[in-house]
Formats: sequence, structure tokens, C-alpha cells
Amino acid sequence: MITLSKANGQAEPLILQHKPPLGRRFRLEFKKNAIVYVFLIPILAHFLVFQIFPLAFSFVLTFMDWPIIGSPKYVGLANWSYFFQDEIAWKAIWNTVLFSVYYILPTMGMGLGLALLVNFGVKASGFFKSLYFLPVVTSFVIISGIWAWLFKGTEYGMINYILSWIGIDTQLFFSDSKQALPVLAALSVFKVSGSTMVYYYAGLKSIPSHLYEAAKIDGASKWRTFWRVTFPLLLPIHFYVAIITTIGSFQIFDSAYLITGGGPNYATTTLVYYLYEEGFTGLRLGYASVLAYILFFIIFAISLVQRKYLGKDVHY
Amino acid sequence: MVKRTNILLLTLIFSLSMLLAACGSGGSNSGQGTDAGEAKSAGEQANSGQDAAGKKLSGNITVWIHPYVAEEKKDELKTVFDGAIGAFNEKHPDVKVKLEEIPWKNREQKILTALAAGNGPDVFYQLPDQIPQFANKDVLEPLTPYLEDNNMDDFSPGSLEAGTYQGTLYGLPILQEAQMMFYNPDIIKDIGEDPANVPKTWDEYNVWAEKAVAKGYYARDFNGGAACCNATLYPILWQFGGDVIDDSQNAVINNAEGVAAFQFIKDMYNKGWIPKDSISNQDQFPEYLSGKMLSVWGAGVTLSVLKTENRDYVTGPPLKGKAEASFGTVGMFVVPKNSKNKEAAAEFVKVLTNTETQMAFNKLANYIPTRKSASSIYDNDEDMKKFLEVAAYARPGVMSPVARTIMPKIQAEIAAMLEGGKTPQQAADAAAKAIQDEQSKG
Amino acid sequence: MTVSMKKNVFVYLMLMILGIIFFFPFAMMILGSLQKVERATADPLFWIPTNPTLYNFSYIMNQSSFVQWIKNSLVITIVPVLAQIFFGAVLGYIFAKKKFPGREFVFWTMMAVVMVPGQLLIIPKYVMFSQFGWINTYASIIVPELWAIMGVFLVRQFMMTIPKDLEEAAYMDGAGDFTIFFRIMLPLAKPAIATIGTFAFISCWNDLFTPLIFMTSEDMFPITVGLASILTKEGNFGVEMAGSAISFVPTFLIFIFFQRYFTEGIAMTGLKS
Repeated sequence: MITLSKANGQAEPLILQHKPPLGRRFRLEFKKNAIVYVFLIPILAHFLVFQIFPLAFSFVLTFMDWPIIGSPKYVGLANWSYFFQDEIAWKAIWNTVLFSVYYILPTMGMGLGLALLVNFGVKASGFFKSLYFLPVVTSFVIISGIWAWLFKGTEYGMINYILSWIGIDTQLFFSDSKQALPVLAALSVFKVSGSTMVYYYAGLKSIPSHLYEAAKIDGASKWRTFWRVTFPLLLPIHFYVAIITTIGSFQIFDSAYLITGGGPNYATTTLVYYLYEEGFTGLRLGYASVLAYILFFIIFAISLVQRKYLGKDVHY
Repeated sequence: MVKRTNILLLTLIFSLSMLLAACGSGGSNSGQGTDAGEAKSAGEQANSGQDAAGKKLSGNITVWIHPYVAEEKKDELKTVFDGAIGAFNEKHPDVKVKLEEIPWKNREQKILTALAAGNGPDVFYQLPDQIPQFANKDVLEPLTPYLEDNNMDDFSPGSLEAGTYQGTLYGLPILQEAQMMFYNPDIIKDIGEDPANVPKTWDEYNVWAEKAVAKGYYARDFNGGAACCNATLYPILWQFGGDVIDDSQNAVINNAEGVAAFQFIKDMYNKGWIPKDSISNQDQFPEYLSGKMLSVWGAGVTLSVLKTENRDYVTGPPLKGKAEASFGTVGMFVVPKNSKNKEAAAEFVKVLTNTETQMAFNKLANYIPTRKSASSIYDNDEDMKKFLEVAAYARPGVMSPVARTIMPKIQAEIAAMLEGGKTPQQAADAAAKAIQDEQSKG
Repeated sequence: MTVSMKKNVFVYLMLMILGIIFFFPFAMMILGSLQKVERATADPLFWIPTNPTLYNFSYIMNQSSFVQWIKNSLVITIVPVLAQIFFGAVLGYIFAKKKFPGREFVFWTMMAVVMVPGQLLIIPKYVMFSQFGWINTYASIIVPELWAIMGVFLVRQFMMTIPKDLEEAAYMDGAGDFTIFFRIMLPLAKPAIATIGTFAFISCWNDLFTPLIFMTSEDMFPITVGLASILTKEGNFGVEMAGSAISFVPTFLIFIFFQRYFTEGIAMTGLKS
């Protein structure tokens, strides 16, 4: 016990010389670290039961044909090899990647823009900051319900009505396999950019003002200052936000489930939606577990990047 | 002092979480216990046919029902079921019946998962196209041994067929449905036609549709985003003389008639007979209600909404092409194999589907009774009489273990076709291939 | 007009435009909930309520199941929130301040496992919980959520900034571990704890995926699953929006009162290792 000897070394150097009896050492250790034994051990048990075991079990499931009803049987690598020829699975991955493309940069840009606006510090900017943040705390169910009505794909839809003011033809939105995914992504941008705004806002606040002053003395324009000082100094924030939004985008499910049901023609079948369909509608728990592992591998790779770039403190 | 209360609190929280964990293992023990119980009841079941009525049944049964009626009629529905429980308890006073209402959405998944968990109901509601799937997985109790005293001849043959898979009866039907056309009389007049003389064939209908679209209306609905395909593709497919899977389980959706049906849907979309968002729209009834649509393909629930909303409407028969066809589901009650009280459950299913319950239930929920002796409830209702006529030839969907899993795939092909990514022929071929793939997955 | 005034006008204009865009869907929700329409028409003008009414609210509240959904949501939210606050604080303290072999290994293993998407664990958990008899019970939602590593992480980060002298001094004064935790560390970590609480509240209250799978009967649904079942039922728009509005109230209140902790919490997780 490193702790013990070190602590004793400081607090009771005399006793250390003629080793205290075991019971006393035990009591001392408990007194100092009681909280570890009382709480960490049950939590570890909980961790094993509710995280590690299911993780291992799901791996076993990938080698099984495990219909929800009926008896499971071992099928070897059949589920894994089916994955490689399952066009819909690859389409689901591709959709998920596309979703990330539609979602990540707009969310970051929107968040940065909002943060810059709020950071001007005009009166009532606190109010607007809260307003922009409001969708973050609102459930997908509520926003999806509203979104489906806003983006109704006939001339009677609200957004189509507004578009008609500026002479744009009626758009199909969720009935168009090219538009459905971007419209779903827009929902997520709307929902999430409030939180990226907060990251950027914190980042902007932490940039020392002397750097701006220096730029000012050099006679740099606002525009130039932004690109030469502010933007590069926000680099760690860019990385962090990029990674959390990417992870979030790979787990997108709620809006596809609620609004499009994966359609039209699989255009919004994301990886998690497909997993859900295969597992709980198609009753192929084994194959659904394979899909879950694919999702895991992707997210794991992203978080490796996160640790590589963000495993250290941010310095200015 | 603060410290002590805090520690107390911790201990409390911990014992609580331990307690929860303990409940867990307790549950699993009792699960094993019931396995033994199940074996016993399976043994008893052998002679249950003869003396079920006379024998004293006891224990609990859980029955899963669904919201068969609109919210405001919920209390009346409860009265109907309470009546059935009352009648059942007169015969079997020691059986406690517990009703649980499960929403329609994801019902299938919920039933499956609960059955898998072994904490499912003893009686639940089942639709025809799920019977093969469930029977195939051997989770349904054959009801034949329990039915000797049940006057089976009273049931309409079609409704019994819906509960039958490979010659065994698994479900007793309580209701039947049929779909037909509903027209907006104002639009009929606006296009210069006679509401008293609605189309009976597709040829007649197409003339009306052209006129309606010329006047800026939609002709009809096509809810392509809703659960495919019993109310969308299949009725049209059958009316055009096609089918999904033939009697020897071959995919025939892409035969000449099938392709013609696909082509027709595509034409309706291109010509604006159905709204442009038909690909993803889950419910176009609002368009009909707001006076923008000539007709909708609807069922009993459509009728009851039109009535409660005080709308004028005209009903019309399913349109005849090469064949006369409609979709009409059959609702039945089944007993899962792993029920802990199968005899009582089967007896309760008999009460749920007897003449008295069917009369009360169907009158309230606006469905068609499956027992001929209960059909008198609609003697004075012209609309329901029409439904009774249609029900005579309505089909209960696709009877195949893959009936459910092929639906989203067919839906995707229709979406691809409507969007223009595939021709009707290609879409029908792809649908047929998807059906074969699902069948080969087993 | 000076340059800075011009700039301010521009900033206000942008803030307002974006504010309107962000508020628009919420306005739709409120407007929609205030009209008595059994079925919403597709007409955009439908949105302007000619006869505002609270009918939809009384209608939905009178449905027995709706009140039950709210109760269920409260149960599966409040218990995890309290537990996560507590365990987040204790474990955060342990991982920040206590030294024992394998500490880093345990902590980073836990952090790594949290990277495992919940969707991966839902299938094995389903099989497990069916063995426990937990399906369609509160336990299936609550027990796995009793603690969350992100909360632990937050407190750990926070406590690592507290100077070591503080606890050393307390220890030399003869204070035990629990005393140090409850008397010194816990009060200091209040902001981090409030953050855990607000985050846990929002994520539990808004969760759809887990209860969608574990809760099988309508009377056990939380508000999210219940609302989803209304939304996809045939469009009773006014009632849908009234239901949405009611379910939004608790998150809105939490947001109003604890907003600071959200923004601070987000910044905290983002900016420190």
C-alpha cells in the first residue's frame, strides 16, 4: 500500500520504524480509505454486471442465431459473413456517414456563429443564449413531432408555404430519398447547435484579451483578427466538438424512428435504426449484435482519435 | 451529526440497491419454479378437452388487449371486457383475470419480447399474418383440444382460416374487418357525378379520378409511409389479379398482374391522383377531411371518425379489376405455449369470442362479428351491412411466416419506384427477390 | 451613427432573426396546442388559433394513461438523478483523491466501456433482464442508471483542482475518510454535482430508446414513449402538441433554474482533459 507508507512517512515517522501491528495497520488503512472499500467495490460489481457482462454476452450473441422466441443455436461466423454481403447494412453505414457530413460541419459552424454573436455581450445576449440552448434540453420526440409537420412534403406544409413566398417550388422533403436525410440532419443541427455554442463560448471566453490587443496594435482588421487569432486558438474546441458530434451522429436513431421509419427506400435507415429493425422487428438478435459491434468499432476508432488529440490539457 | 445522517443515508441507498438486485435473482428463481409448473400443466392438458368445463380451474391469467376504440369510448370498452370476465367467473370463480391494455404501436415486438422473457400474457390478441410466424416458432398453443363444446360452425370460415396454420387452429376470432372506399359527396357533385351511383370497377373509378384531379383535388390516398402493405399495395394488387406469395409459397408479386398493379400506383403518383408526399406520408386522412381528396380507402375506424365528425360521406365497394378483393384483417385471441395457466386461458378465450361478447364488443368498436349468430347487431345499419358483404370476400393478408418481415422491403421498393429510381418491373422484381431472401433466411 | 452603434444594430438584428428561428418550432407547439382540432388540416393558416382553448390540455390530462406516463417518467428520472449525484460525487472523490493500486486502470476501463454505445448493450441486457423478471418494471430502467461514469468524470476533474493540503490537513487533525468527503469535498464540489443532476435529469426524462424496449405495457410507459405512440397514431395534432407542451414543462423548469450548470458542465467536460 503505497498510500499507507507514504502517509505514515509524513504523519507518524516514529511508528514506521518499528512496524505497527497488523490490526492497527488495517484500522489505519480503513480509516483513511474506508470510502474506497464501502463504495468502489459495490460499484465495481454493478459495473461488471451491467456493463462488462452484457458486453461479453453480446459478443457471444454474434455467433448465435438468437430469435427472441424459440431456442438459440450456434451458427459460427454466419452472422459476420452475412454482414459483408448485406447491402442494406452497408447502405445504413453509408447513410450514417452521410448524415455526419450533413450534420457535423453545420452544427460546428452554427455553434461558432451563435457563440460569436452572444460573445459581443450586447444587452439581452444572455436571453438569446438561453433561447438557442432550449432545443438541447427538449426531447427528440417533441421536436420530431413538430418537424414532421413543418416539413410536410406538399404545398400545404409550413416550410413549403414559406418557400413559396420566395418562389421555390414545393419540395418533397421526407418523400424524397435525397432530401429526407438532410432534413433529418437539420433537425439534429437545430437540436444540438446550442450545445456546441456553449463549448465555443467557453473557448472564446478563455482567449486572453492581450492577444486581441496585440492584434489591434498591429492594425489588423476584425476579420483578419478572427482568422489569425480567434479561429486557430479555438483549435482544441474544434477537435473536441467535431468528435462529440461525430459520435452523436453515429448513434442517431430517435428522429429516423419517429419521422421516417428508415424510408423512403432506406434513405434514412441509419446504423442504429437498422440494428433496431433487425433485432426487434426481424427477430435476429445475433445479427443485430453484429451490427452493434460494427457501431462500436466505429465509435471506438473515433474515441481513439479523441484520446490522441485531447488526452492532454488545453493551453493557450 | 451531519456525518451520521449521511452515513445512514448511504446505508439506506445501498441496502435499497442490494434489495433491487435481490429482487432480480428472486425473479430468476421463480422463473425456474414455473418451468416445473409448466411441465405439470402440460401433463394435465392431455385430458383437458373432455372435462375442462367441469373441472375447477384456478390461478391468475393476464390478458393483453389493445385500444380497439377511440379514447372517449374507453370506459364502455372496459364494461364489455368486465362483462366477459363476469361471465367467465360465473363458471370459473377461482380464476383471477387481469386485463392489460397494450398500445398498437410496436405491439408485435412487445409481445415477442415479453414472451421471450417468460413474463408475457396468458392470452393475447393476434392478427392473421402473424399466426404463421408465431406458429412456425412453436410459441402458440393449439386450441383444437379445448373447443369441443364451442359451436365452431357458427364462425365464418374465412375468420377461422385466418387463425389456422398447416391445419392447426391457433386463434379464436373475435372480429373481422373489411376495407372499402369512402367518397366526399361535395367533390362528387363538384365533378358532376352522382353520389348515389359510385364506381364499382377501376374503369369507372378512373373516369372520376381524372375529373377530380382536373378540378384540383387528389383522387385518393396512398399512405406509403405507414406500415406497408395491407392497406396500400395488397388490395390493389389483388384487385388487379395479382398476389404476393402463391399457395406453394412462391413469390409471384412480379408476375404480369403484379407489375400492372405497380405500374398503376406509379401512374397515380405521376398524374397527381395521390399526393406527392405519398412516399413518406403516414396518414392522408387529414387531406380527405379538409376537402382536398375525392376518396379514401378506409375501414370501420374511418367510418366512426366520419360519423363523430359529422361529415357527409358515401361508401363505395372495393374496386373491381380482374378480381373482387379487399383486405380485411381478423382479430383473434391466442394462448402462448409458455402460459402458466393454459386451460383457464383457453376457457377465457372461448368466453371472449362467444356470441354475447362479440355482439357487445363489435357493436362498440364497429367491427364485424365473426360469429353468424352475432351479426344481427347490424340489422339496422346500412354501412355496416356493406362491410359485412365485403367481409365475405376480404382476405386476411399474406399467410406466410415472413409476412411481416417482407413488408418494409416491399415498401422500400414502392418508394424507389415512385421516386423514379426503378421502373415498376424492376421494383416488382426486386420485391420478389426480397421475399425469396427472407424465405431463405428461415 | 457611430461604428459601434451600427455594429450593435447588426448584432441585435442577427440575434433576433436567429432567435425567431429557434423559437419558431416552440411557437408552433404552443399555437397548435391551443386550438381545438380533432385532426389538423394541412393548411398553414391552421396555425393561427382563431378560438384559443385549453380543450386539448384537459382532454389529454383526462386520459388516465397520460398522467400515468408522467408519473412513470418522474420515477425513472428522479431515482437515477439522486443516485447519480451521490455516486458521481463519491466516486469522483475516490478517483481524484484516493490512491490505491489499479486506480487509473479501473477509471479508464470504466471510461472506455462508456464509449460502448448503449445500443450494443441493449440486446444482452434484454435477455438478462428477462431472466431477472425485470422487463416492464422500473428496475430495468433505473438499476443500470444508478451511476454514470460521465458524472464521476466531472467530479473527478473538479476535485483534482482542489489542493491536496486541504485533505492532508484534515487527515492530520484526525478526520476519517467519510468526514473528509462529506465535510470538505462534497461542499466544494457543489457546482459539479448540480451539473450531474441537471444532465441526468434531462437525459433520463428525454430517453426514448431504453424504455421503448424495456417497457411493454402502456401503463409503464414514460412520457417519451407515450408521446411517440400518440404522434404516430392518426394525427390528432392539437392533442399531440398539448401533450408535447406538458412533457416539456419539467425540462423547461429545470433549464430555467439550473441553466448555469448546463453551460458550465458542458464547458467543464470540454475544456479539461
